[in-house]
Amino acid sequence: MVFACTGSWAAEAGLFGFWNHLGDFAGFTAGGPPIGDYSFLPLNEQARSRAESWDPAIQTQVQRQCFPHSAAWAPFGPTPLLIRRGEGEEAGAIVIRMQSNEVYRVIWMDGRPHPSPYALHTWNGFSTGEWVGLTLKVTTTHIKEGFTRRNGVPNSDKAVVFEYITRHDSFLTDVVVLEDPVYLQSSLVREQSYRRLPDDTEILEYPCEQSMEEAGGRLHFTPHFLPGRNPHISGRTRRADEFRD
Amino acid sequence: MNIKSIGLLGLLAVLQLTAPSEAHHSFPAHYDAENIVTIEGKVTAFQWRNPHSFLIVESTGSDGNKVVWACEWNNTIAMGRAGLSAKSFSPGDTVTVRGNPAWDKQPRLRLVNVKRPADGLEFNRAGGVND
Repeated sequence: MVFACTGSWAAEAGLFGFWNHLGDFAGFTAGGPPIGDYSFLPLNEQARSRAESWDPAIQTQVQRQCFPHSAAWAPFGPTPLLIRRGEGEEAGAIVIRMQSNEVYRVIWMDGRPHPSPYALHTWNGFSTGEWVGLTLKVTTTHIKEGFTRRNGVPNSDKAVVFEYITRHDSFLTDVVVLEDPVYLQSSLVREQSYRRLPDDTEILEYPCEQSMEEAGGRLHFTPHFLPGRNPHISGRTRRADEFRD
Repeated sequence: MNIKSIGLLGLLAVLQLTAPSEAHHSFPAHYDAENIVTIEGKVTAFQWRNPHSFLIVESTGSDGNKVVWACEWNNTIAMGRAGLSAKSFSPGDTVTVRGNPAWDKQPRLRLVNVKRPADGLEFNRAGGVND
């Protein structure tokens, strides 16, 4: 049941403030997942093919170093964030500002429709929100292609992210449901929790600067692996990542 | 909706006050965490930047050839919190770096530890000393 107003402001007020990422589910451990670990992901063959041809060195290319996380993965980024009321042209909306990559999300709460499928796609996508009891349900479309897991598993620009954000005392839970008709066989449900931070917390600036990360340089080369040539994909990893009902 | 996967490990995670390494990529995807390489050489540049800082070190290989290593560190927020700054290293500094080698065999490390014998300075991966 969706409540248009009842309880909404109380819940909204409860969400406002500074929150810090808890744990590292999406990354598995500090630092991220290894290549070839696709466990618990309902990948189709297209996604598997893309992931197995992915070479991590591609992220060292100058033009890719400052790519932020797409909305399909951003909720799992290990970073503090601020949830506040929108101001000015964003009045009535809810704004989520994350420190890492300076993510700035606007969640429109006025019932406006999502734009045409051909409209601009961005890293943050286009988000609308509604209250489901004391839970903020956020629907995000128009997301640029990014990754579902940080080891080459892609999300497509047709992906839709549904989030269910609920406060539990000094904790915040964000249940993230990713639906991607291009790369997933079924919905992918993940969860990220946050802990309340003091009101005087600062969200620091995080300017990204491009540089020549590859010492020795491999200019004019796009890192990749041809099908079946990825040395990180072994029979063991293939068996381990097979998704089961 | 056919839900096939639910991740709840975040609920059980350890509490933390500050963000850890805010990787724009997965470190294990880039580096072999099971192995350590040690290099000695002179700093040619200290790239104080996001998403990750780099210490560029020129060393001499066993064959006498010069090799320029890119030693990947952390973001400026985490490093600054640990007391580092853009001026912590200068070109010409002699350093010893231990780090995880890159999977692609390029001269690139994920920095685990760096020592500067001239003044005894030592930092570890996360930015702090002996953490």
